[in-house]
Amino acid sequence: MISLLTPWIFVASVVAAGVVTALHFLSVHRPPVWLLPTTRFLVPGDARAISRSRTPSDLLLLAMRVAALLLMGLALAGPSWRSNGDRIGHIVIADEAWRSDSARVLEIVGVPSGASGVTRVVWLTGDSASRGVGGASRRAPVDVRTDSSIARVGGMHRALAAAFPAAWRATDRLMRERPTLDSVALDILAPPSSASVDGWESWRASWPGRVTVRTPIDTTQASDRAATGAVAGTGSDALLRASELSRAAVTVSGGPPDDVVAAAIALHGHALGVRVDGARGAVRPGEQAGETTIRIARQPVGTAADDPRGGSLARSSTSATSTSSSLTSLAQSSRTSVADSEQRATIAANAGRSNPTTIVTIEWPVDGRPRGWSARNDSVGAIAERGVALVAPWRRNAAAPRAAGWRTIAWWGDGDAAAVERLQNGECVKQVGIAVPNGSDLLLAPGARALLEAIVAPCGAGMLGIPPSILDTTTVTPLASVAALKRTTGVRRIATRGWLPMVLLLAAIALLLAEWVVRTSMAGERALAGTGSRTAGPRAVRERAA
Amino acid sequence: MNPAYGTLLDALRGVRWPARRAVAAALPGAHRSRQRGTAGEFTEYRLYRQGDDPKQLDWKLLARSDRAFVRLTDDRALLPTWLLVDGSASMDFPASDPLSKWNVAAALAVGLAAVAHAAADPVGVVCTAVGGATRLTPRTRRGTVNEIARVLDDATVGGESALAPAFATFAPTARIVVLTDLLGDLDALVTAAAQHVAAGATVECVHIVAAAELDPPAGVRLARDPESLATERTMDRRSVIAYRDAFARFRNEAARRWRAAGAGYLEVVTDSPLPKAVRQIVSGQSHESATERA
Repeated sequence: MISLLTPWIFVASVVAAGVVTALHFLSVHRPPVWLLPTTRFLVPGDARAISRSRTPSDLLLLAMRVAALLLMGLALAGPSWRSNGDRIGHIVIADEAWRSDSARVLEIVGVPSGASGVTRVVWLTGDSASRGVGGASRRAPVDVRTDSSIARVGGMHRALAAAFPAAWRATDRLMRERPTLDSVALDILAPPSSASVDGWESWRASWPGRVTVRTPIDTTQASDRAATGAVAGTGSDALLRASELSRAAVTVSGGPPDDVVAAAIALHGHALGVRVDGARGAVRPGEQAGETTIRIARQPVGTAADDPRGGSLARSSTSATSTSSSLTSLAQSSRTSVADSEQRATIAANAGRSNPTTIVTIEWPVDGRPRGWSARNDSVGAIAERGVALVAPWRRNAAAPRAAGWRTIAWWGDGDAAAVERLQNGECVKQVGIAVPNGSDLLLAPGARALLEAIVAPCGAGMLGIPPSILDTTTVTPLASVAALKRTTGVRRIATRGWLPMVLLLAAIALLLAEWVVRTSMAGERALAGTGSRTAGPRAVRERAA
Repeated sequence: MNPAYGTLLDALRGVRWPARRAVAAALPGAHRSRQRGTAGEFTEYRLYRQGDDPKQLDWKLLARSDRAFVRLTDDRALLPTWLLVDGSASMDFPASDPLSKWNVAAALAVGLAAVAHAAADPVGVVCTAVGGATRLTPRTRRGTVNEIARVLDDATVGGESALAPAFATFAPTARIVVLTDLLGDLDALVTAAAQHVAAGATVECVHIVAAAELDPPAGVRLARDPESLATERTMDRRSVIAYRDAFARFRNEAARRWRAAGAGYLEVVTDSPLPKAVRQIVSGQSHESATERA
């Protein structure tokens, strides 16, 4: 069976053949001869005229011309012989959490057995800053098709639309490896939540065919949902912003007297929806339940109070009422302030209440090197989070750990993590590796508000459940054709390099040569037939006999 | 004889073809002769001159008037009529049509022959066709018209034939009728006609024109001259307009030249009634212009 790379070229040749056929009906050659004695009185002109005829003239020439046109169009359309084999490619973009159960992934997306040769599964990490796609460079090119935010290829947790760049690259590789494919099926196994669904519609519109989007709502990903703190399936209303919290109290401890972080939070407190208690911050006792308590520890790593949560910090139970008892005591160090003691008292008072208090512990050393971070000494030009970049000559002293479970909430300009968070025994723990020079006003600028918001927000804030409008398991839309995919990617070269185009081209050229020979011989015959002449008989006078 | 001639001959019964002027002296006939004599119808008296035959004196008038007069009378003479019929290839148009130029010319020739023969004038025919010219000398005997018709029916139209050389065989005092489409040797023909008119002959030109030549049918065609196959012209809607103008100019110029030569000119379209055309010829309307006729 012949498949065409660019069918429109063949269609154009069919149209051209139709035009040639119509011209043969016009019969543009010598009109019928009429013997007229008074011909001399006609104005001399071209002895040709256009007239319509019911049947096409010169059927042999017409057949040769039409055949040559069709063969030429077929040759230029990129034909190739294709056996009845694999014609549908399969691209699966799945969250890395599925990697341990890849067989189940193939079962869910419905890849038939034995079709592994035309199936490509791309695992996207939940943290694009630390790993790329399938081992590709971390510095994946930024595609500007998204509507907003700086989405980097690699993680659907960061931006759900990141699945499409990976899909396009995998599809391009698949089409080059398997030029006989007709169409490509795209399956996306999305995580239950994502920080951003911006750009999804634009990316979705770029794919010229069916895209099946599923979320693992009945799988072990429930822990992931809990870790991110997002409410799956609740749509964009699930966005949790620190500024939307009804109450939040921030305490900053361990920093210098003129700590820039404390000053920045105090300055932006109203916009952030938080309240800083005192210069060093403290939770006032007797606060109503339901408040979010945010503790920022500015002690450098290695000090006596290296655990910002305190050595006697009790671990909470998994019961619903034990959330508030996750912090029962503060670190007992020489630097424990009266405010810290008051915080411990408040936390103890909150223990057991029906409306527990959310506590966020942030380890943000002054030197920018939290516990567990490896030393580093370089500079970066920007910090990005939630689609906003804070550009400045930042000093980077540490590199984020590569341990599992940490979720990046802010990135350096080169993609490394600048701040991470995770839920640990029910607590929200954050580590910030950003060293702000003492006396700097970087955090005081309005542009720093988004960074502070991302840092002080509870774990999982800003994660969106996948809207139902994105999920799509219907099969009404046809699969994306390879031709349409190549048009979108701008592929110009012909993937097939077989013998068929050359044979068709040679056949077309041979037909054109034969047509020229036949046309020349027919023209000669017509010229000879048109030069006939009559010779008058001998002149004589005959007398009729009387 | 062609059965179609019968209708024409019946329509021409009783038609006379008088000579336009006095004919030369000849055998007694129906036409007024230029010669004055003592036989025939008395016309006038003339004083006796020395040398006159005394037998021509009118003695009774001499007795009454005591003066000598001679009686003069008009003579009637015959007028030989020649019919010169063009049988070239151009006359066979439309081909195989009962109303082709050749068929119309032949019918007119038969009709004129019948009229002339009815007045006891000798009538002959010269037909130029394939194989040369066929000549039938003028005669008055019974059956002459049939012979003329047979000659015309037996002729094969075609080829290129000149009519002017036939004039050399005509008597300078005869009545000559040329039936042609004037698409041959027009200049030589007019010159020969003028010479014969100057010598005293009566020359009539009957210009046969086909209706299709006047108004060609619509459509795109490649027109080709049957007498010159190399002449090809494209005929379409626009070129036909110029063709009609050119052909009309040719016909008007031909009429002017023939009349200037002293001959008569009559244009006969193939779809016009033949008896009417014969009457126009014999009545001398060919010497009148179209405006004079109107």
